[in-house]
Amino acid sequence: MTTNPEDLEKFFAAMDVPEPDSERRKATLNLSVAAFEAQKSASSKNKSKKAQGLSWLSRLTSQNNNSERMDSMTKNKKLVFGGLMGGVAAACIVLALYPAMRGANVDEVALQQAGSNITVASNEGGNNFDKILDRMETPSSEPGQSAVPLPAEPAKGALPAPVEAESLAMASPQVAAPMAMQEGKFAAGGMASRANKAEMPVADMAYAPVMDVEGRDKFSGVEQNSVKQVKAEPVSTFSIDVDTSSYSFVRQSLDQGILPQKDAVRVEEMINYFDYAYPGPQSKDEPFATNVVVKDSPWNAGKKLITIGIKGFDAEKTAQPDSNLVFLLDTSGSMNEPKKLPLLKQSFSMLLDSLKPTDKVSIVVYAGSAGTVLPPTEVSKKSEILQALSNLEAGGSTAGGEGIRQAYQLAQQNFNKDAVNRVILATDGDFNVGITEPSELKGFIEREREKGIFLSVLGFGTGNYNDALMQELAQNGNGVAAYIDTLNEARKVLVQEAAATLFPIAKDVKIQVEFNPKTVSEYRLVGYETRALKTEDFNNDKVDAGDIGAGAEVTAIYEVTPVGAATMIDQPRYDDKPPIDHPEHIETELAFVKVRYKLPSETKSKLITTPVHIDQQASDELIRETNWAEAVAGYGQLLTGGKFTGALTYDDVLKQAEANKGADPFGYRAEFITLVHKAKTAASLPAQGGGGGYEGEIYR
Amino acid sequence: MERDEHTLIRLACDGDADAFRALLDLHYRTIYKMAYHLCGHREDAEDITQNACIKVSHNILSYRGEARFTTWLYTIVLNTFRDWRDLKANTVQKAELYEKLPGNDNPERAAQIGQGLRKLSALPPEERETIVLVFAQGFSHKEAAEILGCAESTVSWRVHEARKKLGGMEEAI
Repeated sequence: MTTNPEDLEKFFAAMDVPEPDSERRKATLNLSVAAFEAQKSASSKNKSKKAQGLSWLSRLTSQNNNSERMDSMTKNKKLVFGGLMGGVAAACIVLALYPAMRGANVDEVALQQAGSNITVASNEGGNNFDKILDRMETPSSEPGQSAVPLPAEPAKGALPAPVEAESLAMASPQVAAPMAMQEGKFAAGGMASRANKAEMPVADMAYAPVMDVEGRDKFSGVEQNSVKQVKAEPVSTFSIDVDTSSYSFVRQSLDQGILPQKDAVRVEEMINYFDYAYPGPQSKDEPFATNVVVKDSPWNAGKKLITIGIKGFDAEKTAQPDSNLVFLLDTSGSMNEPKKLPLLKQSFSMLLDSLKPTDKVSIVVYAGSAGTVLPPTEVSKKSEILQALSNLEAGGSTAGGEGIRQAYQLAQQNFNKDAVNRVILATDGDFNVGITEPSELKGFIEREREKGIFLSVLGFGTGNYNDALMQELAQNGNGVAAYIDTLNEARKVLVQEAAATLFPIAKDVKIQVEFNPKTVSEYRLVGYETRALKTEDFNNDKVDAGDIGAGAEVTAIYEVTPVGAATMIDQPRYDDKPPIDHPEHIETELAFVKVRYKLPSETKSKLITTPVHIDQQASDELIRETNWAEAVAGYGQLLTGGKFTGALTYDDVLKQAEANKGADPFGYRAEFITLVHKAKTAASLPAQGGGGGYEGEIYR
Repeated sequence: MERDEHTLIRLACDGDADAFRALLDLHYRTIYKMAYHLCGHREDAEDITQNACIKVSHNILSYRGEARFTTWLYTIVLNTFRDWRDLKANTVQKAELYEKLPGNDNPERAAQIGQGLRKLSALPPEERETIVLVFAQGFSHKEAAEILGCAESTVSWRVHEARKKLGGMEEAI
């Protein structure tokens, strides 16, 4: 029997299509308009070569418009899912607020195009528009077109996952978990799927391998910073940390309904994952502005929090250095999972789009297949590079031989002292790169760093993840360690934050805080355990520390006990009142903050100092931003056991986070709120059991 | 209305962001509905809608009016859906679309619709797309052919084939 056409019409008409979520709708519209604006400024530049300042977006991105590279990049525009990233990335970079990623060698300039070319390797789907785009003409530009103001409403824009989290967080936090991941996959898959169909055995199709609770994922255990007595130890010194891998890992874990291993949580990386609207320095002469806020501690009555927010100068017109990159890719059998090799390929093709046509990349693989897959090739020959990437297959377990040496050799071959010379190691934890002894490996990387070849490490997947070694290697290689769990994260790390990477404004940035024993009896630094420095290291320019990129922010929080309040450590009975050197300061200051840094090309450090007053003044916005940082800090500390946070609960964190979310145009903060909900749920689950209903949800 | 839309399209093509937003807003529900009919799940439909809107953002400036705007727009939606579906198929072999029934207060009714949807989802993808375009979205065969990028006769043939395969849909109505 054949169906009547009328019946079919009736059938569809009778079907109750659920109403679309209105929050989601707003988010989508905001996101689309942001993408539209970015597209517009890119194409008007393409046509006129003049930065027209059409809108807030293009005004802010005007540094991009000054690049002569723009044209050639725009011409290649291809559109698919990747198209999403172009605009989005531009919108994000405009805000230029993300913590720096020091390692990847990508550039800001290309951001507007980032992602647009990604699909070259796999563009048979959805690309009726390629042709249209290829002969794209720009509509006459319209100066004075009033900008779409940065939407004030839940203007989460850019990234699908966080956006999703936002809209769902309002309804039901639980639903958000799989959805957020799903979204990432969706985006990833749009591109990844085709290229990899052939190579992904069905058995491996399951997404998001259940996290190995017993942990082949290795994290080194670090004792939390404890309370210090000012009289005994008045000075606290640490290196800045702009890594964010901890946050991604925590999210990945919670998305599966599992509380992360405590050692996986580095509170400072969670805090620094977010962007903060701190006031920046006025001129390049002083690369940082130090903002300090003093307020009552939400964790312990009677204590205070000193929050130090450093904002790097946003270098607008820094010339983009050349890049000489060697990708050292792990192709061991364990990489044969959707969240590993395919994601890696996508990430790298994304990175490619951020480079200059004259930049050189090469690819070396290890484990599984071994050797040089792509000799140094100019980025302009993109198809060759993409071809090499797409030919990569994971499999086997043979030792990769001299993978790492080969990689550095290639980097050496093309060494350009004015360029960024970097090896980018991507792995799920298999460091069988040819040098097996970790200390030897570290030594090797350190020596290469001295020669000017740096290393960044990108982690993929779970189950075999070796966090500690990754961190250490990257730190030794003057690079960043990032953990990539979704294509969105790849975009954040390799594209959005690329600016900060390519435009380092300072290196070896150290912070030293001296507390005033007259006003402060105890202090505790939240996080930065792995970044602690000795007091004497602060002034020693030979001691390596973290780098900071253009427009990046770094936040550090101290919880202090004012003199007179209840202390954790007993006060010394036989206290000799110290002589007062600076009578004018002694009563009114809590502490003295010193930031030491080197300009990228210099070897001698400079110093910026800021006194912290008892009645330190701060703008409302600054207070809101530091409140946010404190909510994240509270959360991180709860995840690590809540040893110092008194009666603080996840609900308190939620309250504080929700009250201080601010504009959150790209939904990262909304995503955080979802994560807090998830931690709450996960905390009440039995410790074991690999994520419960996740699979059911995702495969609905 | 029609004229308003034309104005919006023209302004949007010229880079007017407010007009662009209004234009998207105007079509949001239809895009979503089409996505929903194609994938059968609200959240997936919203994902597809979002991605489709972004794609539109990237392409609108180059829209030259060669095709009717709706045809052009729904081609994007369809392609976005296909990307999504390919991923899904790649993720879970033979994933059942429409696995979850749409929310409906009446369980009996929901079961009926579910049955109809299952029948639909058993169709070859191109036939299902065609059915949705023609019967759910109300496109003519000609328009559907443009969106699908095939000949009009192919659309008619697919509709014919699909109707045969669907058999009686009475129980689902």
